[in-house]
Formats: sequence, structure tokens, C-alpha cells
Amino acid sequence: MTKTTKTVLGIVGIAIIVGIAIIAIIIAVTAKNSSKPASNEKPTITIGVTLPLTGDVAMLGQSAKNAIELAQSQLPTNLKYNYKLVFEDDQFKPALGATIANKLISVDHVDALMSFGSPVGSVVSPIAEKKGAPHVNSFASASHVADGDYNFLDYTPSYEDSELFIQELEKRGIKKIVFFAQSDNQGAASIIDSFERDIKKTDIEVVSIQNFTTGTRDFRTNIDKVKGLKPDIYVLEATSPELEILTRQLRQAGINTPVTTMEAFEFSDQMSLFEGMWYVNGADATPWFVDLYTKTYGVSPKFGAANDYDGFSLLVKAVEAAGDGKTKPTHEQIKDALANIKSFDGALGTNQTIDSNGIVDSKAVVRTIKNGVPVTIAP
Amino acid sequence: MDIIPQLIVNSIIAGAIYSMVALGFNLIYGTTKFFDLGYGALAAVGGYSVFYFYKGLGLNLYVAIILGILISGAIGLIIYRLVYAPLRKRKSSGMVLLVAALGVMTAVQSIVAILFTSQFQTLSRSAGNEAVYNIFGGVITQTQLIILILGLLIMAAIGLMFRYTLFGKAIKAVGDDEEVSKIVGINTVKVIGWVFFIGSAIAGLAGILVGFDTGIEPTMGLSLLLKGVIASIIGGIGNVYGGVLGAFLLGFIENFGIWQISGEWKDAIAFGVLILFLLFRPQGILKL
Amino acid sequence: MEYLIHIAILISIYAILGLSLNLVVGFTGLLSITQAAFYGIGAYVTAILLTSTGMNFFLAMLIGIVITAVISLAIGFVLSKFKDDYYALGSFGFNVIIYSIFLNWQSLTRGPLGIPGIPRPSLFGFTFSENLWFLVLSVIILIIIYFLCKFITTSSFGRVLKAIREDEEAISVFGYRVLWYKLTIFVISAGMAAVAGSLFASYITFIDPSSFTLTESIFILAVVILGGLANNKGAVLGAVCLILLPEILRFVGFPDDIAAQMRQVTYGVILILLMLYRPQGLVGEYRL
Repeated sequence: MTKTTKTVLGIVGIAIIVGIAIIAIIIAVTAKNSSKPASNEKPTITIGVTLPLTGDVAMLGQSAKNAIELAQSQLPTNLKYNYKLVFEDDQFKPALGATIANKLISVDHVDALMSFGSPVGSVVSPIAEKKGAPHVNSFASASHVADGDYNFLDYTPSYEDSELFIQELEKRGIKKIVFFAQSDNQGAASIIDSFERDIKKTDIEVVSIQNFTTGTRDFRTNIDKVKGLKPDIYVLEATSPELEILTRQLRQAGINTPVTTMEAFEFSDQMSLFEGMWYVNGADATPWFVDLYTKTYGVSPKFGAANDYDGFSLLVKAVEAAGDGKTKPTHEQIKDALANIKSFDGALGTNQTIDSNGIVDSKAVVRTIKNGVPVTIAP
Repeated sequence: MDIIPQLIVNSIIAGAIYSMVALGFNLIYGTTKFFDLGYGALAAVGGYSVFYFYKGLGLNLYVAIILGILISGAIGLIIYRLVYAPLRKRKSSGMVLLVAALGVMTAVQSIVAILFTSQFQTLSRSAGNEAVYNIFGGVITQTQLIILILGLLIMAAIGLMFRYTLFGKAIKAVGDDEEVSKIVGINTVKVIGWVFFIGSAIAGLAGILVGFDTGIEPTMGLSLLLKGVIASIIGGIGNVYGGVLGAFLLGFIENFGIWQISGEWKDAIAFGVLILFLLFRPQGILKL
Repeated sequence: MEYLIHIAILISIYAILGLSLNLVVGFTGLLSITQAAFYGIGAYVTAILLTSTGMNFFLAMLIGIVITAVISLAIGFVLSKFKDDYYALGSFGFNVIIYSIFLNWQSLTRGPLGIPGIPRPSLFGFTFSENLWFLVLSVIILIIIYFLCKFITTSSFGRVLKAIREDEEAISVFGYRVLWYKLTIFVISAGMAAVAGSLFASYITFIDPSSFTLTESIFILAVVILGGLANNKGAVLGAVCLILLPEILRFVGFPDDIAAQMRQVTYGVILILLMLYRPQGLVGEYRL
């Protein structure tokens, strides 16, 4: 090697060693700090939260973060413990989710974990189960995220959505439908998966499924393909901005047939586009939550925020039940307390229960947009 | 069957946007023989500048657009001066420039995301309520018509510039042979600087128009760029008219693909066509 | 410490990827930007075989290598017709096409839902479920691949590769069948990337298409370029740096919502600075 190469190698080597040393020191320091605090102080419970704070679904992650912080600010002061939050950005990527879960557990020594969505949830769950760390996910449509004793899920499973949706289709006498599906979107794929299984049992005909990828801005040819089929309703499974662009282009093409969805409309910033349309949604956020969130942050909560609010509240409830106020409850005790929660009142409604799989029981609802705001019409 | 006219109109709409990206890209490539992958990010710069001035500060629409175009051009020029010019002076290989361009794109995109968040935004204040025209049985909105007309105008302007102005001829000369141009006294650094400014300004304009048609997000540049690249290669790399031809052809192929096959394969089809052209006719349809 | 073990495993996987790409880009001079595709094929084949049959991990990995090798032979053959910039573009194209297949061939790959529940490897009754043991496994495989690369690059085969990189025409005049060498090294590189893919799938226990995009290929390229082209130790070094850097930055404490974007900006700037001031990377022997 040349001399410069050797010096460069030397510098890099030192930098790496310094880097590792920094991490090791931080680990050692936080390990010390997580042992008993001064006598009369309340012990602090640390909850690690991994969210997509940047990337494609950043708005949802940001909304979730706001909801969790809101929940923290609403905690009464006479609790047994102090609650601290550590947020990390996983960009909705599984590999990062794994890194963060490991960091939260072994470096931050969190007492519990929260995650968001199926890709990260699917990776965090096995880690949480292996390390025995209680874990609540709040946006995964894939129910396997709740597998294992330590894993809990607060999100309406897609089979609930599709069951109610098909019921509603039958109630309204709809016979022919056309699907527009953002096929590379995790949530859409999950819903369509459930739907395709359930629709076989009825005589409703799906005359066409138009797939498109995230990033598509031009649906005109897809629309032209199905215009002639004259379905009774168009089902749109897409996120923003594809959803709004698709709806506008449908209208531009002169199609005035109703549109509907399972869950997609409430992701949108422009709900007035869907004025008067009925659709199916996962469990409702209660009005008091929506008001509180909107008053605090100036914008309305995105879909899923209420689930995160509840996820945090559930953990607090479990910790308070499991601990004695002097020392922190163990992971196992927290996990057991979570599983034992029989009913609780949260942002998604009163008397919610957790089933034996660790999934919070939440039912789907039928809603419509009135004056630009969602309103529940059934059940 | 009446889907054909609509298909053609759709292709023209898609092609119009690609053609604007291809115009600037081809201009730069024709002059410097450099695949500027960082070019795409300038579309985001343009779009977000207008977002800031028009929706953020509330300035007049046309002022905001002109500012947006100028800013994109300026930033393109600055990047050229800071990164590409030194590398070219050192006669760095094409690969070094390509990698540097990738670095530029990554950095610029992320800076835009930090400043404006990754949220998708629309530029138009009247979401969804714009004029719609019916042409030969196909539907086109006002914004799309503007994109189409502007694209063709710019193509004509550049063509005229090449034919009739000294500046245009200088650009062609640099594109043909940079060394010889230097010898005959052309200030190649200045000419190329102008090329980057104009090319980047066009990219910014493309970003702005897309912003009005559908919307903007920090990562919009990459996919626009890749389509622009494919369009340029199909139509004739380095040839300004070729880029436009390729853009409309690409628009047609994509829509035809959606019609016959299915929507989710659109990108794969576009790149498949690229590879076919690279294999069998890499110089594209129209020659340089 | 679990967290450090986890990082070490990721470093091993990316070191393997870096070593594999280095063979093609650093030693043979072919700017291939599609390594994530082969990484992905290895991962998906392993994942599908492990979850649908109870096959042994090592057998699944072997099948993954074979399937990836066959696909890469076809891709490498088509790419070999292209030069320089077009080679890079063509490789982009294949990455996009293969990513589309991961995403859209849903009956095989479950598309965006991904494949969860991938088991850890087991050998003679011993399962590598503890991360520490998995790290041992990854490091052993890394060492094997490292020495394989060292063997290839210091042999006479390796000398021909370097000659191809320096002057392809000259070496073919001497009677060497350049195409054969290019294809062989491309296939070997793809096979190694598949090994990394199998390790990744089994370690993370869940894969979805988002881990195998064009951006990932660019990241692997950055690993190679940063570490130093045509230097095997460099590839490993590049992986160490690019995995460790964001983790260290995590502790530096940028505000959460811009931390990731700041990291992206850092990558972009690193690429640019490298190209400007040290195009051979940290310890590389070949300047792009």
C-alpha cells in the first residue's frame, strides 16, 4: 500500500474504534442509569417507539408520534411511575426495524416497545418474543404480528373490514364492482387478500381489478379500460396522493358512479372529494379524541393515531397494575398484566377488550362523508 | 373501438411531461456527453420553490413560477460549477461523474425533504376543479394542455436556437468536439454553464407543471428522470427532437402496456423497452 | 451486547455484498447497479423454500445460489453488449424489472405482504436461533467468501479481469475470450450476493420487496466505492463504515424527524466528496 493509503487506513481504523467506544460507553452509562433511582423518586418506565418518521408514510408516523405524546401529556400526576418515551425512525423498513428493536432493548433498556405497521411489526415481534419485551403494534393489518405472548396488536384486522364491507354491498344490492388497487401497498394488499376470500361466498361479481404501483400519477388508461364495464360501484384501495388523483381523474373522465373503500378515505387530506360516499373503516376514533388532537396540534389526526394513543394507554395501565410503585415491574409482569386487561376505555371507544391472541377487539364500521367530515352510519 | 383515441390522448399527456424532462436532459447530454442523474432532483427544486413562493408566501402565480424556474436553473449551474466542472477538468471517467451525480441527487432530494417534509403537496389552489377539454373523444385538463403546448414551444425554441443563433451553434460545436471548440476560441466552460442553467431551468419547469397537474414530493425527481432518460435513448440520445419523439413513444408504450397487460407492470415494461433499444438500436430512432 | 451483535451481523451481510460487487465493478470495471436484485433472489428463494417446505437452510441457500446464477447468466449476457454509461443504465433496468417481479408475482412472493416467519438455520440438530451463533455463522461465511475473492483476484483469472478493466480491446486482441470472463465473474458475484440474501432472510425472519430496490443497489455500490475499488479489504471496510455511521449518528441526536434525511444527505455528500477528492475510495487501487 502507498503511504497515503496507510494513513487513511489508520485514520479510518481509529475512527471506527472511537465510534464503537462511544456506543459502548453510552450502553454502559444507560445501564447504570436504569438501576434504582434516589429513594423517594418515582421510578421511570421507558417505552421505546419505532415509527416511520420519514419516508413514504411519514405523515402517518408523525401523526402516531403526536398521538402518543398527547397520551403521555394526558397522564394523571398520581401514577406510580414516571413515563419516558424514546422515539426512533424506522422508515417503514424491516431491516431498520430490527436494528432499532435491538437498540431499544439492549441499549435503552426499554420496559416496553411500540411499533407501527406490518413490515416493521413482523420483524419486531419475533425479537420482542425472544427477548421477552412487551410489544404493542398499532397499525399492522397482518395478524401474525400479534403471535406470541409478548406481542399485542391494536388495529382492526382486515377480515373484519371485508366482512362488514361485503355485508354492506349486499344490503345495497350491488352486483358488479371494479377494484382499483395500489397493489404494492402493504395495507391495500392485506385488505384485498381478505376480500377475495370472502367475496367468493357471495354472488357479487368483481368485473375487474386494476392494479397500479405507488407513484403512479396517471390512471387514465386504467379508467378507460373499465369505463365500459359499467360497474355499480368503484372500490378504491390506495393511499394519498394516488387516491385523490385517481378520484379526480375518474370524475374528469365523466364517471359519476359512486366510489367506496375499506379504510382509504380517512387517510386523505381532501375528504370533500368523497362527499356523500359510504365506506367501511376500522374502529372509529371517538369524538373527544379527535377534538383533543385537533386542539393540540391544529390538524386532525390521521387514521391510526387513535390506535397509538390507546396502545400507549394500554401499556401504562398494564404497568400500573403490575408494579408496586417502588421498583419497576419486570417485562414478564407487564406482559401478564396486558393480557389480563379485561376492558378499558380509550380513544377508540369504551369497553374495549383484548382477545386471547393479544389483538384488541375492534369492529369495523360503515361511515360516510358529510360536509367534509366522516360520520358513522352503521352498525 | 373508442378506446384508441383516448389511449392516444393519454399517451400524449404522459408524453408531454416526459418530453419536457427529456428536453433538458438531452440538451445536457448532447453537449457534455454526460448522463446527469442528478438532473431529476432539480424538478423537485422547481416544484418546491413555487410551493414556497405561491402557497407559502402568497406571491403572484406567475412571479412564483418565474422565480421557481430561475432558482432551478441557478442551482443546476451551481452544482455544475462545484461538482461536475472540476471533475470534467480532471478528465474523470464517465463512471465517476455518474456516481457523483447519484450523490448529488441523493443529497438534494434529502435537503428538500428536510426543508419541506416528505408530504405530498399540490401546487394548485383549486384542487380538482379545473377546466376540461374534449379532444377527439379523449379528455384533457387545462394544465395538461399547457404542459403539452409549452413542451412543444420549448422544443421549437431550442431547435431555432441551434439553427439561427451563434450561441446555439456554439453549443452544437461543443457537443461535437469540445477540444476543437476550445481551439477555435469558444469559451466552453461558459457555454456548458449556460447549458446547465437552461437544462436545469427546464427541469424545474417540468417539476412545477407536474406539481400543478398532480403534485410534488421530494423524491419525484428520480422517476421523472428515469423516464426522461428512457425517452431520450429511445428517441435518439443527444438529439433534441429525438427526446421529444421518444417521450411520446414511451407514453404510448406505457399506456398500451397498461391496456393490454396490467398497471402494476408499467415500470418493468418501460425498462424492458429501454433494454431492447439498448440492445438493438442504442443510438435511438433519430440520429444525433 | 445484542445491539452490537446485530450490527455486526448486518456488517457481515453487507461485507459479503460489497465483496461480490467489487469483483464486477472494482476488478473488472463493469459499473453494475443491480446487485440488490441478486441479493433479493437469494433471499426470496431461501424464504420460500424454508417456509413452504421444511428444507434445511444450507440446502435452500445452495438452491438460491444456483437459481440466482442462472438468472444472472442471462442478465450478464445482455448487459455485456453495453458499454460504460449504457451498462449502468441497463443494469438499473434489470433491477427495476426484478423488483417488479418480487412485487407483482404475488402468488409466489406474496407481494408487499412479504414472507414472515422464516426460520433460523439449523445443522445436525443445532439451531442458530441465538444471535451470537448467527453472528458466528455469518462471519464464517464471510471469511470463506473473502478468501474466495482473494483467490480469484490474485489468480491469473483475476489478472485477466484487471486487464479487461484497463483495456478491453487490447486483451481481446491477445486472444482472450473477454465475454466468457465477464460472464463468469458476473455469475460468481451474483451467487455471492444470493448467499448474503439467504443470510438476511433467515436472520431478519421477514422479507418484503422494499429491501431490494434500486436504492439498495446504489447503497451497495457506495459500500464498494467508499471502501476502495479492487481491494477486498476495502469492500469489508466500506460495509463497516456505512453501517456503523448511521448508528453512531443515531446517538448524536438529530431531531427524530430529520435524522434519516440528514443521513441521506450525508451519504450523498460522501459520494460527491469521494469522487472529487479520492475516487479510489479509502484503500482502493483503482480509480474509477
